[in-house]
Amino acid sequence: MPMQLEQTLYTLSAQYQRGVSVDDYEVVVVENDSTNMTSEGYVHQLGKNIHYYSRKERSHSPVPAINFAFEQCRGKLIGLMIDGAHMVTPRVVQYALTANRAFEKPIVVVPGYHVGGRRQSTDPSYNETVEQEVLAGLQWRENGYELFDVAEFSPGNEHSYLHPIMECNCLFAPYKLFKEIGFCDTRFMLKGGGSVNLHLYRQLATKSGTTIVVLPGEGSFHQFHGGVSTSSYEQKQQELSEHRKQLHEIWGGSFHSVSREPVLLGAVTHWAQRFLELSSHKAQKRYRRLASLGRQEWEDDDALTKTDAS
Amino acid sequence: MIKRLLRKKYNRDSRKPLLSLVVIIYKMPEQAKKTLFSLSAEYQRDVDPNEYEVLVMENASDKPMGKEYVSNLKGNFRYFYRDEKMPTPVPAINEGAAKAVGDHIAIIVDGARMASPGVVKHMIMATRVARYTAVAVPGYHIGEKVQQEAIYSGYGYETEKALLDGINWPEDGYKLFNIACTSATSRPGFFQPIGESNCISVPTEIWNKLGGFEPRFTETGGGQVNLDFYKRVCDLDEVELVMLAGEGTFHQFHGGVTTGTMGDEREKIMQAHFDQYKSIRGEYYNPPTKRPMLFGTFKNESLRFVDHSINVARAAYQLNW
Repeated sequence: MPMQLEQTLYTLSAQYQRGVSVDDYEVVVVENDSTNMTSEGYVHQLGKNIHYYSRKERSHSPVPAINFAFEQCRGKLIGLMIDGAHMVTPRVVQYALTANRAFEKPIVVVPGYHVGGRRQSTDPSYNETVEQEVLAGLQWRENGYELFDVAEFSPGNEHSYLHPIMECNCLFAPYKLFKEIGFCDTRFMLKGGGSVNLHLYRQLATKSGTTIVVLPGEGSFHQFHGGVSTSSYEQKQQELSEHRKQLHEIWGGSFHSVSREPVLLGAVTHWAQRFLELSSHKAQKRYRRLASLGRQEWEDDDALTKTDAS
Repeated sequence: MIKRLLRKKYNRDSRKPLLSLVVIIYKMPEQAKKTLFSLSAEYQRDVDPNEYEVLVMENASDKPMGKEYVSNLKGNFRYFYRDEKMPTPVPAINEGAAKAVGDHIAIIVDGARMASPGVVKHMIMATRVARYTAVAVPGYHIGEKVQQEAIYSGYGYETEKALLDGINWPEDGYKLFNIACTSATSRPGFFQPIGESNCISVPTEIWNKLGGFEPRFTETGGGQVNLDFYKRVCDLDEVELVMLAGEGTFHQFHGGVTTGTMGDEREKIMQAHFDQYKSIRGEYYNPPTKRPMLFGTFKNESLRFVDHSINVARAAYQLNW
């Protein structure tokens, strides 16, 4: 997915990111060998803080590449994007660093969206060409917040970021926390890593002493690229079923979204406000439902408090 | 263990409070008691009482609250009763700030404003957001309408008591959102410029740089001194403005000069406030346009004000924050 990756990397460069400079962060790009590679020259001209590695990989899982990337990282805070097709908004890096100042152990969640909305995963006529036309209608390089105008919440978190969170495709956490969980679990060797992203988020977000920090004004925007979870092809349902099976086996049948109250952080530009409004409406509905059932709003917070107390 | 880690990370002496809240009270004993209880460690959630102090500055009146109530509150409270000849809280504010030992000073200019239960916790967290962080809490009035309007339809102490009894205050302080509306200066919400914050913290360094509250504001209640302070803080380029959008301070009716007077009397008072601002600053007051960072959690009760803020921003569309 060279074109998508190049667009992603542009959004991570210091010429696009606001409130930070090349000396504040590094981007470690690891590309598994394929017949359709990214131009290394393009990557290098984005800035001296972007480091590119190509590597041979026999498996169809990104897990070995992720663990290789961890070995290259020098920062104390790590931002992990397992799928390089996610463009981000202009203050993602700034606010991740802000959260790291404000909290001892932040788990920073950049909400996920799909360019083209539901069409990306449900409309057979939606493809790269259609998507590039959609993007061409925006000035996204100058103002990445315009991406909100052509996107919807990603299916993984369609209930919004004021609900329990299932996964995050642009996730920041301290290096030491990744180390504590043994980095990326090497059992996830299914195509695309299976549900490794969900597994990783739950491992981190249920660690004692952590704070879930959501950036409501920012987003990561998935571009169409024919990956396992976003493209329509014959074996899709079967593969997703295998992903779920593995996840439930590893979690003893008890895998579920992490129900912890998020701290919201960051300015919310008017482009992002309709998603905050949607999140608010969905959250109010959820709170009412839970109240009628007499259930706690954030059950994993309660469980962590009890664990810490014992 | 966690405390030790935080102390190490933020290189602080944990024996010294990080935050000093200065609360001014004058002739409002019952309202002040509720406000001070709302700042106590019994009511504020998930906060170490050693992390903050509350300085209560009571200006002398024929209806004083006195020291006794404060001495029974859980937390670091210090009480000062002072003579004041002028009808303004400014000397009390600046005196309180001078006594503060925290790295950050928060001013609650009107002691009739109760806080929601996460104000202290989130204010402390938010101070770490940037080198110079100003943390503002949005303002609300108890009741369906702002009290300066509500008094025309009979709003008063009894109405307010019934509202507070109806939510079993102080059982869950977030329920205050259910019986409140935005203050006039906070009505633009979280995404348009607001006029002031009735609970705002700044680093001591910024406080000193500004010289505290401007003593030339001598009108009743300080006139527009609180608005003036908010604007001067926001106008500093080095200051990051953080808004605790899921928290609030809630004004109780107490017959104050701007919310408890009516008709011509109120108009005269307000005009004198506006004119004094103009005479000091050379123009009538305009809210600062610095964009705030939102910070904090949202309970079910506070979410309707997110909706309100988005609706206002959508209708105004004057400033594309």
